[in-house]
Parts: sequence; structure tokens; C-alpha cells
Amino acid sequence: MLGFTRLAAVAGAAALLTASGLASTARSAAPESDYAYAQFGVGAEYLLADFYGQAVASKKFSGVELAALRRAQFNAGEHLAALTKILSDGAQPVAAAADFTFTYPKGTFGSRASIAKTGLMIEQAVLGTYLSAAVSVSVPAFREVFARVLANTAEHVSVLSRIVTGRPIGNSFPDLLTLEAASDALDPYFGG
Amino acid sequence: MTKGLFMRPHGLAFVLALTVALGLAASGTAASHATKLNIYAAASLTEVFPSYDASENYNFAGSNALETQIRNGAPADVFASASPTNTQNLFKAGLVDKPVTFTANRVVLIVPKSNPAGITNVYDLAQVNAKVVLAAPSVPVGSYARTVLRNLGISAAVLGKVVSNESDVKGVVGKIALGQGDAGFVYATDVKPVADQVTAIKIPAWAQPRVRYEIAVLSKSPNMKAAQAWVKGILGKKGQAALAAAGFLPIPGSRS
Repeated sequence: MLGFTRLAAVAGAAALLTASGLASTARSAAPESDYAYAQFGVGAEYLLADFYGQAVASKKFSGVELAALRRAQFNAGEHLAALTKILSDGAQPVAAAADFTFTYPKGTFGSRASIAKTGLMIEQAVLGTYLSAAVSVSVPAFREVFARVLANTAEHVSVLSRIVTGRPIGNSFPDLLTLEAASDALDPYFGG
Repeated sequence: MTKGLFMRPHGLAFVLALTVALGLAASGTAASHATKLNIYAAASLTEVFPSYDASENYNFAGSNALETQIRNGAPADVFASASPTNTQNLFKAGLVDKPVTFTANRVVLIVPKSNPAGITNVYDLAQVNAKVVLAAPSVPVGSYARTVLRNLGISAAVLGKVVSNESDVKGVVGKIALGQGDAGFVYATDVKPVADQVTAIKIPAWAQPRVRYEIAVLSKSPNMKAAQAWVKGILGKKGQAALAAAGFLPIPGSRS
């Protein structure tokens, strides 16, 4: 669960995004399919923030790997703020941290390898969905947000892939994932 | 002042009063009072409330209909709503005391066991030719269903397939169980009583609406103490256990 510090960071990031204009999204009516990707992203980034928080707390990592996990957790908070802004600007319902509980397979946080393997599975599903969003959403401002978020997500995938497989670089053309397929992949991590 | 707690008891009357008070607190329900409470509750609570306390008078319906009945002077003591909107409306109107959240729920899609439309996931609703049954938009589950469709990005494709807007969730359940519709949105807790007639299909967690139930005592209830005790009971261990056994979710934020 996100703590006060994390939530404060998210709120701060939202303010910065507003000031920078990164998420100054079109206020005219966007297609609901555009917002659906943002709704998915909010749930996914809450999951990732929780996951990285637990990964850091597990004390199974040190040095550059630990720093990378901390940075990924920070990134999740900033992604969350940008996606939340898309929804709130469009007068769409926005989920809060309290709306989710997360669950992980037994032993997930018991070893460096199992943490990285689970993180990689989650991040790959999220990356594939952001790829779909980047090529299919119709509002240019939304596309920019998704494209920038997915570039950062690809970095997370690289770090975790290096830990799991020893190879930081994968396919030349990662697969796109539909919201339906991404939901199937991530729903096991959402409890209750 | 706390000295009253330590005052010398004044005979039998004090002992009797203490016994009644302790009995009420211990039972956690209103069963020990002489007058039956009139409990107005969301239709989705139809099974669980009587299983928790069979001794009261219940009126189950859509929360919006119950709100209207209470506004029109219906003799309710307690109001339990499937949406904070209805309890908060009455609170603002001064008709109920401050509402509290007492449980939560999830929305699911149900299809008849025979599944003539071949629906296997919620996205199929946008693709197949199906008769969709919803509760009316003013009914909490009807509003939640429309939020789900909007969150998934398929409301434009699905709302045109709606053949019925029911007055409460049990209306949706009945239509699908009888095969009068191909798919409908209900609460997860509504599936168990008709599990042999319908199949439940999960909604992605990220697309779920925030389903919160609130409960409040009517401001002019003639049975105020008993009504307050009943609300305390449903918030207590026994009440929460009954809700959990029926598949309701814990009060948000209460999980350890």
C-alpha cells in the first residue's frame, strides 16, 4: 500500500506536470477508448508502485539494483500522476490507492530472482498495453503521455530482464497487448 | 465528568437498566428490544441481513427507491444503501444521522448457464449481438454498471444493446436467471443464490467502480437506541462476519 510519502510525491508530481504542460490534455470530449487506456494505466501504476515498494523493503537488493528499484517506484508515482490528470481533466472517475489491494504469489518477495521475475511479467504486460495505447489513442496529447511513459517502462523491463535472464535488451519489436489480454495478465495481482 | 460511572447504584432499577444495556451490547444486534426495527436496505442485502438478524422488519428495494420512500415519510429506523449517494442525500436533508461505510462489493457480469450469446468475457459484449439487462441509471448497480462500461471504453457499443432497465439488482438477476436476457451486471454477492442458473464473469480490477455501502439511523426514529445498537452490531465482529460469509468485502481501509 502506498504510504504518505509516496502519495505526497504523486501529488507533487501532478502539480509539476500541470505546470510543465506535459499532461495538458484536450478538454474536448475524447473517445472513451482513449480514457480506457488511462484507467488501465492508473490501476497498473498503483500495482507497480506497490510492487516496487515491497521489492525495496525485501532487502534482497543492493547497490545499483536497489537504486533502480527505488527509481522505478518513483517513476510509477509520476506515471500515476500523469494518467490521473488525463482522467480528471476529462471528468472521468479516477481510482484511488484505497480502491485496490494487491496480492502476489507465495514467495514472490523471498528471493532476488523471484522478485525480478514477477516484476518483469508485470512490466512486460504494462509495456505491451502502453504500446497499444501509443498507436491507437486519438488525442495527440494523450499519445505523447503514453509514449513517454512507455519509454520509461521499457527501461524498467530492461533492468528486470538483466536480473532474470542476464540480457538487458530483448526483441526488436515488442508485442502489443490488448486491454483484454493485459487484464488477464494482471488481474491475478489484484486482490479482493 | 466521569464520576457518574462510580456512583452508588440506586437499587433494582439500576441493576435492570445495566442488565439490558449489557445484553444489548453483548448481542451486537437489536434482537433484545421489544419493538421490531424497520430496516430499509438495498436489494443486494436481501439474503445477508436476515441471516445476520432474522428478528427485524426488512424492506428491500433499490437504494434510490428507498431514499424516495424515506423522503416521503416512510417509517424506517435504519437505512442501508448500496451507494453513499443516497445516504448522503438524506443526511444533507437532515433525515438521517451521519452515515458510515459498513461494507463494499464488486460488480460482475452474469450470463445464463446456457449462454446463448456465447459471452466469455466482458469485452464480448461489444462484439456480439446480445440482449443486455441493466438496472436503471438511478439505481446504484445501474450506475456502477455504466461506470464499468465507460472505464472499459465500451459503453457506446454496449448501451445500445440494453433491452431492460430494472428497478433493482434482483430484477437483473431474475431476468438473466430466467434467460430473458443474455448478460447483466450485478454485484458479486448476488450470484451465490442463483449459482445453478447463471455464470459469473469477472470484471478487470482496474475497471471496477468504487462500490461502498453506507448505513445510517433515521433522525426521527422512535427506536433510536435500538437502531443505533443495530448499526453498531453490523459494524461489529458478528455483523462483519455475516457480510464476509455472504461474499461482501471488508470496510475499505480496515484490512490488516
